[in-house]
Amino acid sequence: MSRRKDLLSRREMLEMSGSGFGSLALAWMLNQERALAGSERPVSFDLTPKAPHAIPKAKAVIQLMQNGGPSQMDLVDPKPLLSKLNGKKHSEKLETLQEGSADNVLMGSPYKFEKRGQCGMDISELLPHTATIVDDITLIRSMYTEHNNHSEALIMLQTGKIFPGRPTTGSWISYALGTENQNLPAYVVLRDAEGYNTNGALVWDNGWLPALYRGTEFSTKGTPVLNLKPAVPAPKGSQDDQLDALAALNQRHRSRYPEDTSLDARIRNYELAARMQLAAGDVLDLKKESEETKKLYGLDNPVTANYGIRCLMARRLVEAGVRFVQVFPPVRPSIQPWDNHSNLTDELPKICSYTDLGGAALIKDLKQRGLLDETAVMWAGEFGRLPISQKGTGRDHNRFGFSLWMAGGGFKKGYIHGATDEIGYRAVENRVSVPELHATLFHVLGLDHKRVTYRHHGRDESLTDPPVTHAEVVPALLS
Amino acid sequence: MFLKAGFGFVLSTALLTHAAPGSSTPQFAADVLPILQKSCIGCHGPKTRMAGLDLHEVSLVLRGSANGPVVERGKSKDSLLVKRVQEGSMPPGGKNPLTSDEIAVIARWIDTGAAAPASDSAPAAAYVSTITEKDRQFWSFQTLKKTPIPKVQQSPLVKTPIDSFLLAKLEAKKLSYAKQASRTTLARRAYLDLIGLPPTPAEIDAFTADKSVNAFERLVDRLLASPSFGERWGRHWLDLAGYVDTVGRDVQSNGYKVGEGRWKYRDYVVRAYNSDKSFKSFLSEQIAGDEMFDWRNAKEYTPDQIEKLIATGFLRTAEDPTDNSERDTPLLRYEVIHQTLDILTSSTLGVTVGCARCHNHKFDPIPQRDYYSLMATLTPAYNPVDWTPVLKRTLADVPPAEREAIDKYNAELDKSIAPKKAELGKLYEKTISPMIEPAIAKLAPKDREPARKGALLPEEKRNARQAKLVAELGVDLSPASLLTRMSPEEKTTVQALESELAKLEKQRKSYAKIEALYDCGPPPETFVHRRGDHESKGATVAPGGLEVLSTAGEVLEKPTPSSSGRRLALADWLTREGTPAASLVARVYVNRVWGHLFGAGIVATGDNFGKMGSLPTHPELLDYLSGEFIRNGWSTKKLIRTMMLSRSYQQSSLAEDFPKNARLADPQAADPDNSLLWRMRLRRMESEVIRDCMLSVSGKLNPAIGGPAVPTITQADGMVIIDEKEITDPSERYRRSMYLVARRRYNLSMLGVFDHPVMSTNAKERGASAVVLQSLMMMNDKEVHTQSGYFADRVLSMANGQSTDDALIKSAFRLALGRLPDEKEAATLLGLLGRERERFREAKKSEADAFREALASVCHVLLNANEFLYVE
Repeated sequence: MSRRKDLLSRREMLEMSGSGFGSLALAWMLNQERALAGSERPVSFDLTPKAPHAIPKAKAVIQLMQNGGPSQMDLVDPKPLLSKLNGKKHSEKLETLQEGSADNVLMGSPYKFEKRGQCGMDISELLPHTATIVDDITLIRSMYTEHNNHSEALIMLQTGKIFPGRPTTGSWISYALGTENQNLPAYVVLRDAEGYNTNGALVWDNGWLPALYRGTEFSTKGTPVLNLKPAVPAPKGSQDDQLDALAALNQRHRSRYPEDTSLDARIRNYELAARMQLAAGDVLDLKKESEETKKLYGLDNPVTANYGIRCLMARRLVEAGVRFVQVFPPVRPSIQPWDNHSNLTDELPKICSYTDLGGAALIKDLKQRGLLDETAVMWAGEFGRLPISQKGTGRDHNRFGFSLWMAGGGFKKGYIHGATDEIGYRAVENRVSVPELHATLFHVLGLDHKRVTYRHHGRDESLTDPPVTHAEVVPALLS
Repeated sequence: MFLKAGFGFVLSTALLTHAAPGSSTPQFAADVLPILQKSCIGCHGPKTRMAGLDLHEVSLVLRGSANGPVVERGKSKDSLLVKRVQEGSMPPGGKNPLTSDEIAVIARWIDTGAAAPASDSAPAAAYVSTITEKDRQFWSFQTLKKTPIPKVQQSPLVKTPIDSFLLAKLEAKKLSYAKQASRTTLARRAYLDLIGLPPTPAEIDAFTADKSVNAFERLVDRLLASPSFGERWGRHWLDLAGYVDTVGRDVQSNGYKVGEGRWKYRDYVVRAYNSDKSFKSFLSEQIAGDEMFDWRNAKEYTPDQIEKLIATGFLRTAEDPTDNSERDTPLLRYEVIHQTLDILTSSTLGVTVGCARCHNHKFDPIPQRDYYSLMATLTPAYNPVDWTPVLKRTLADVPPAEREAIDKYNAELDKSIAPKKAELGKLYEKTISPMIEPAIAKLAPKDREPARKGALLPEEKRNARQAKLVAELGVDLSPASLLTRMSPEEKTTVQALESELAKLEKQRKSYAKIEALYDCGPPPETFVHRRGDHESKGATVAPGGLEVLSTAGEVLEKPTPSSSGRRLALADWLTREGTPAASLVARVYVNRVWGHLFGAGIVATGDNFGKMGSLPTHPELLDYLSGEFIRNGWSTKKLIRTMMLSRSYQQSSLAEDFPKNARLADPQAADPDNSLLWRMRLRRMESEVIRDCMLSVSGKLNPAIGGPAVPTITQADGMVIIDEKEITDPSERYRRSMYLVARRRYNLSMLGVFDHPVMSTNAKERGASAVVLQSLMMMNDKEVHTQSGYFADRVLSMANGQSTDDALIKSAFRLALGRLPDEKEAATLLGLLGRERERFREAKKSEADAFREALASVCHVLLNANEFLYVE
């Protein structure tokens, strides 16, 4: 079924340890022992920590999803020539999705850019907080994807292909690495409590991987996990008493089937459920955070609090040993808030003001706690936007060029990778495909993307599908 | 001849290579390609294909980019390729620019006709088969073998020939069967396996009391005749068919579209299993029911013909996103066909045909050509170049001529209805407007128009946003309220109009829609997609099956006046007795039936009978059963009966029940995986069975069969529950799980946690994971809690006020698990009952309520017991 072969030998490991490296390597070694103690082909799947193929830079991932398609030329990829050509008809017919761009008229950004940080990265005035973390991020300006419709492009960003049904990145990583804290899920999803963004739960789906690798939604309101607490309150002591009686029944049943380990797992699950009630409650409890920290994430301001609280929870979850955290943007004014087809000058500043602070705060907070080096943070939408105007006030979708940033966990600091053409339509320099980004993300986690495979329907499937995509790690992104 | 031609080619290439620019005709490979390679192919090559443009082959250059052609043959001036490089916008950024000489070469190549190299334009060479005799010898590709039934020593254990085959292998390892399971266990096993519901204590008692030798046989026959049998076994088939109720992309949590006639296919499957339709007919109708009669020209349809049209819903389950014009692209159209092929081949042939989509299969003898030959059987119906949008792909339960007549009649009717409706609308608007305008003025500007529109609509026609806005207005817009605000004349007019409209509406005629598959026109050309890329056209193929299972040159086509007959020929190819294809189809199906009853197939990889799949543990048995299955008219019920009446099915699942006998080996050492079946396997039940059992035990199950699906809704917290607002009758919420709306994902949370499949294509097998969300669901979910209460009520009402606590515990235990508790178990639950009663008393419940709650708590524990989830 599964293939987790080709692990580094223990000896290689010890040799390397002689040359001195940090706690991650040590943790890796301990996990390595655990992995080697088990069988190569697990008969059952679990979330215990697994050793990666190589010493990891990062042990956890936070994905800051920016659903809708952030407009790169208004945010992080300045195009002076485009501004100069503002209002001019463009000669090449650009690929559009919707109506309203038939005039093919170029639209310069109405926003000012300024060089920020020691690295001098050009960032738009719409992102004053992101501007303060530029020395910690790798900005990729040369991303491209394969479909210019939200649903397909989001599926691509998460699963490497545009068709629904494959496992998401978080599922693959949970499958490959398990998780550190057995009292919490490996893969936690933090969405706006008001609703889902585009594609809903599809973007944390396990596809054909076993169901335990699916993302678990943690709510920032009410109980953090579905059914974590009894839906109908019972008198004190009632549930413990029920669980004791249940354990007695299950033990008797278990003793009749000594060879069936899934019955054990089931018994342990009731114990785990009890522990999870405490652990998840703990993670949600922001009382332990200082006022200063809460302010950092903008929890004191209704404009920034919605997204900020999820960024803060992401840090708490990673701190608690969760492997993969996916943070979603607000679902208002639209479930794809970066989708500025019209009224860009109203809508874009709005979504920037909702999310700019939280993302930057997360990087600063992780850094000051020493967590940034071992956490890979990804800020990404599903595609970019066009340099031509749509109905005079907006921009349509663009799959040929878009920007995203990565931070921490072995990615370069204060670095800009690649470039789009002079109007920001196509990535032309050091282009990065979505599978290449996935391969690089796996790399910082110590995973060889070619070897994290799962046998499905007669084929060794993987996230990056190298036989078809020829994806390779992009070394230039790594420090 | 060959030598001469070869020489000529070399000579001319040599000449051209040395020719100065400006002279003679440029050749693509020698002259043009190197230029393109230097400057263009980095972005417009096979790897990146920016803007869909690939310049490395003539055919692809001529095809152009996603935005249109880049070359006009003979007209370099009109060719975008030349324009772009001339104006310098390509290559972008001035990298590797073309010299004017190079541009001239390309221009001249275009002006001289943009000819392809000889090898590229030559007609495709005759197809040479790569299938060898050795390929055909692979066990699963051969026709069924007849093996004599083996002789065994332990003949008293032989109840059917199955036992002879199994015991022969067991005896070779000095093994035997475990003891016969107890009557109680056997009853529960048979009920869960055949109807997916637990037996009641009375039913167990009846079976236990039946002392006749054929008591179990009678039980099996009775359950096979139960209408619930078709639900249980139909669901297995629906997994393979990838059945969902939704149409179009089904990715958002709410707002899914339910196909009008989808459920009819689901009910067809249930009926087919209940009537024990031969699997051969069942499969054939599903693949080609529409080609079995002239549905276009029939005067009227017989019920059987309607059934045949409904059956083709089998090939309509792939996710078809082309309901949205943005997604109606060749790529996504082809994806619908690919997925349909996956469903068709994985459910019938059990080989991974999909691998041959991009290249010849790496392990199995399935050339890429086979894949596209199979595709050619579908393209007359799913025509990628003349696509029928998914919402229009329906037939009616009346012939097309009648459908047209009804549409015309209704259109006429609408003509008389429309003015009356308009008049009525105006009268209402006149009344409603002054009522709502003050409130509307207070709304945000963007909400005003939708609120206005919503207010003018009858309540049931408002969408969610309108309903919300109208509610915010705080105005009573009920018909009664409106009438009171009208003048007497207005009131009379309104009432007259309403009654006239009602009368007219009654005259409307209707027909039901069927989501069928049918040929939409003449077959298009179907060709091999090189590297699986539909834009990279390879050889044209004729409709056919897998070559390794076919006779030489077999083409699947039987044209009829109204269709290509390709699918009909395919159905015949799959089910014609005595052929390798039908043998494989029978094996794959029999193996799946075996897997459902024994917990694992004779071939462990039920979806892969190829070289990378497992070998059968009992190949002779599989062939014997498959042969019997065909001889018995492809009867599923007879097949199940044969399996269940074997001694092997009836043995205990406990290792401790294996006979302790010095002549026998230790089974845990000799066959630790129990692959030889020295005992029955312990199986966790599927998601639907778990929920259905809970409802059955609580006494709330609504046993109604069939009909439109029960709607569900995703709550803000992500929990999927039954949509109480949309159900017509409260008892609908307790329908069997297979009747809840089947979605690709976002199925009822209760089902989702228990490995309910994500239906991206189809579900080849079910998982049986043990994850913590299951425990949380069973322990804390509101619905499970509610059902525990009903369960307690049922126990109390059965006792009729007469029973002791001990008797109540025993009664609850039997209802949930079929058996009586042992002393320790009874004591555990009795203790819990007492303490819980105290707690609820302290929580100030009345004596009766405290007892009911305490008993419900015990019932809740029983529903959580591992034993409840398993078939022993």
